[in-house]
Amino acid sequence: MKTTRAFIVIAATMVVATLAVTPVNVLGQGFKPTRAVDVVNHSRAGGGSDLFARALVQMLEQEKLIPPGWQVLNKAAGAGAQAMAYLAEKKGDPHTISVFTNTWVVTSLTVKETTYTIDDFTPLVRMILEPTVAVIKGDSLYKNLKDFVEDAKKKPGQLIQVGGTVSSVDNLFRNLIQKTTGAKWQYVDVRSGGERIANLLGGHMHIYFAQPAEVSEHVRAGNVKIIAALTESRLEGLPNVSTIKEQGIDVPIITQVRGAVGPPAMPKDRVQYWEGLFLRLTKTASWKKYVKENEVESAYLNSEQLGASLKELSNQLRETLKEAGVKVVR
Amino acid sequence: METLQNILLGFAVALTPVNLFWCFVGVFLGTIVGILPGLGTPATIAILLPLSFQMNPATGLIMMAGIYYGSKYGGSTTSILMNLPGETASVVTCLDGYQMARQGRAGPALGIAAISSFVAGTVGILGLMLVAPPLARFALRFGPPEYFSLMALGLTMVIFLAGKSMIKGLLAALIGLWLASIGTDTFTAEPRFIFGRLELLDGVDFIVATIGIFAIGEVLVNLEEKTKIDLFKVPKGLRNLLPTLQDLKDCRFAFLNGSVVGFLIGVMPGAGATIASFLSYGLEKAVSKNPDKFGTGAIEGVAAPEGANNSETGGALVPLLTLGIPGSNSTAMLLAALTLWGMKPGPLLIQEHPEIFWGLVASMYVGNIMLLILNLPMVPLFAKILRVPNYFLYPVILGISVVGVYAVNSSMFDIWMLALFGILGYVMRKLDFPAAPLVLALVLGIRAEETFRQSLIMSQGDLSVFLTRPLSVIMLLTAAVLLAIPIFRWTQAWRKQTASEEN
Amino acid sequence: MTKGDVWAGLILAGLAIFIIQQALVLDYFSEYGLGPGFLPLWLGIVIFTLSLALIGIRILGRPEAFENEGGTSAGTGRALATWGGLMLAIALLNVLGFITSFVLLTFLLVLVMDRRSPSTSMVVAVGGALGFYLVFSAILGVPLPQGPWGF
Repeated sequence: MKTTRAFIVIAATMVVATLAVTPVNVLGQGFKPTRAVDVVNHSRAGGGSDLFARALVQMLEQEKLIPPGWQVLNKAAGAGAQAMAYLAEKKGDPHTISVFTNTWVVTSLTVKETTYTIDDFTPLVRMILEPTVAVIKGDSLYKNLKDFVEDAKKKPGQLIQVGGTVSSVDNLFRNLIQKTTGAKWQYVDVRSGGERIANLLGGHMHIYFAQPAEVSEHVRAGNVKIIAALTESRLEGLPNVSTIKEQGIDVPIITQVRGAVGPPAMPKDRVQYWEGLFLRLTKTASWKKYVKENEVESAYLNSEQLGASLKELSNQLRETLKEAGVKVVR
Repeated sequence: METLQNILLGFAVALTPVNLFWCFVGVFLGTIVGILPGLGTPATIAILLPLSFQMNPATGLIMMAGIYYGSKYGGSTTSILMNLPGETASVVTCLDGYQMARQGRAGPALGIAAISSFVAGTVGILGLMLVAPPLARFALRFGPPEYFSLMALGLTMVIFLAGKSMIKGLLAALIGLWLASIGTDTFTAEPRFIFGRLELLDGVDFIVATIGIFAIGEVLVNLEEKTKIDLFKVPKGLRNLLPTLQDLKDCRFAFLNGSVVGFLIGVMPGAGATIASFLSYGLEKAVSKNPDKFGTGAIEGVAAPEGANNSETGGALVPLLTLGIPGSNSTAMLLAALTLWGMKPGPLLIQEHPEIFWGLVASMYVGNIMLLILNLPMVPLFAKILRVPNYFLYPVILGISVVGVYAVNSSMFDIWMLALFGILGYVMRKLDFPAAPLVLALVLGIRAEETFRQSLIMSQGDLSVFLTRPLSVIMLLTAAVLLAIPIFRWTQAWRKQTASEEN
Repeated sequence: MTKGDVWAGLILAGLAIFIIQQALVLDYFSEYGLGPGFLPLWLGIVIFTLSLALIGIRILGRPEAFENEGGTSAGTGRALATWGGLMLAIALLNVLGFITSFVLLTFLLVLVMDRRSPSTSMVVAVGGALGFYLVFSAILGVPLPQGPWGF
């Protein structure tokens, strides 16, 4: 019975800790949340957006910009579809926001069953851009992406790229590179990032377009090497890796975006609160550490700029998806 | 020698009072989470994550891992007592465990589950400690063709689950495969069979289907009779509540089988505990002298899958800690936790942070002993639950099912699906269709199709890819041998029968 | 069980036709190897064949020993009524909240299905609901659907 009581005590402390929310005045006048905010994301626990949402809340708490107690809600079904539907339901609710990625845009474009698209929501802020790098096994003979492309030209269809779903950035890059260079290689969709790396390390597949943080430990151990940055300019953390354009392959760059949106038609004062809160976060030490550790680019945009940028992204993705053979419905 | 030094370092970490305390908290919470269906390890870890930011990474990992393997211990309880599997890996435990409970042997069933979990869990840790790096390198030789062959091997287990009619077993499995094909096809991003429902884009939730078919279906069947007669006999006396020496003897092979199968499957990223538990059950039945006993309350049928389910934990930590590659949602959450603590889990983790790896290994020995001490005394207590009158038990099972399913996604749609699968489970039982093949095929189907298509992309459409890779061939041959055993037995029985009829 | 098997066979054959018809809409091959229609098409064909085999065996073959599990039609009625009650309780979840719907469901099950007295039924229902509230809401913090009165 003692154990039961101990458990109840622990559990009760946890419950109390999560419930005890005292509103703290962050920005003086205007709108401010009067209770804990729910931060929605479209991943399962442990997925990319889930981690981003948790990291945001953790940093905001650490920097005392918000009171403790904000919750991260997982609405994982349908690659953003469920999260969008949930956020749309919360129209008028000042205490719900959501993090988003390119996935929301892609799902808006390709899934005809979605009732809502990214355009229905109030853009709040863009926080980061995630660069993509081309990765091969450590003992592979290719020195750069150019070598790989040349080899693929020699044996069309025999080299294999491992990556996410066909609508992911990886596959779109593959199509763009194939189109400009005339090379052809296969694309295999493998569900989890871990298994993609396992397939690369096992030599079953030959190249992976990854985010730097996914592979940095393997690079350090010499298991894999990065042969090109699929970015406009060289990455700060990888000064020796040349960009795809430097290697003479001229393709448009698609970047993975992360940021936050609010429910549809959010009033101006609330938008301003969120803009201000996240802008202040980007100035903190926690944020700078996060950006460095995760090898991403801090790329704040306010609501208006984000809205314009999303439109642009939407058009770019529509074209590249079509060319990659994915059915676009909007 | 080096290993010995390392393990001493590990115990030095694990036996500090702080780590001991959080290890206990972890395994205790894990047991509770395991007993309650639905909630699940990844969600629990997510809930506790903020709490652990105050701890140092070793302590945090020790607690999180405690939740992980602790929940595997608890998973068998509701399967045995209520035919209510809390996760898909416990489905096979229902088959014999629940039958044992109906025969008044709930105590021995729960006891053997705890003992088998302890034995196999310990073997899993030994494996993790002694052979992790070479085994991880070996696991990398598994590409899509090998995974497909493994899934094919897993699917042949259907024949051991089919019961009286092979056709019905196969049909149940095929329906499972069809249910598995519901959702977005990842290769083309096209939705299949979603009936216009967004919620189905990610496919049918295994847990919802499993709980519906097993638990709700069972309640409906039982409520056909007015429950005047107590279905469950619960014998008095502690001796009847724990496994006998004979039981333990009967389970000798099951312990070994569960330990080895579970650990090896666990090492493969993305294979999962479900295939481990089903495979060890099939293997147990294949080598058994009395295969007919299975499904009617064979104690080995509880010991083998429960062992495999727990040994899988040690295996799953191999690729996570040696390569930084998570093979399941639970290990992905552990990886995420490590990252949020500022660690960089990867191939250099063991080298650069030996105290984390060895501390965890040592704490798992300690945690396993805690779990055994925690679980065995609870056996008589749990067995007594069955003395609760049925008119109270059945609503509780319905309630737990609903809450458990709702806890996963907070989705009303899932609850409607639960009711739908409940009536499916009832109809299947009335028409004598076995339920376990359906769940097995539903869980393995997605990966079977994925890996099949991946393999054919790799080989540019050449089917021989499955027969030219040695590991793949070995698994396909094993599947063929396993298939041959019951067919051989069946034809023999048939010959005998026709012979006797002619006389 | 002969009759049941024939019915099961017919229903499954129907499902198989539906699956095949849907699969034919999907592509068998895609730009990325086999298409989304590959698996469902073959599944449909095999399910169709096996369900016909099931019917054939039952009609033509020797009837197997009578199985007692068939139960009575009254029993089936009770099971279906229970299921109906569950569906109703689920429909009420969002209106009344989990606790209240659970009390109602339990009360009805115990009263009607088990023919206990109304007072016993009420005690069981309220006691059970309290237990659920304590374990799941208060201790574990699992979110349950809430009614207008906050639980």
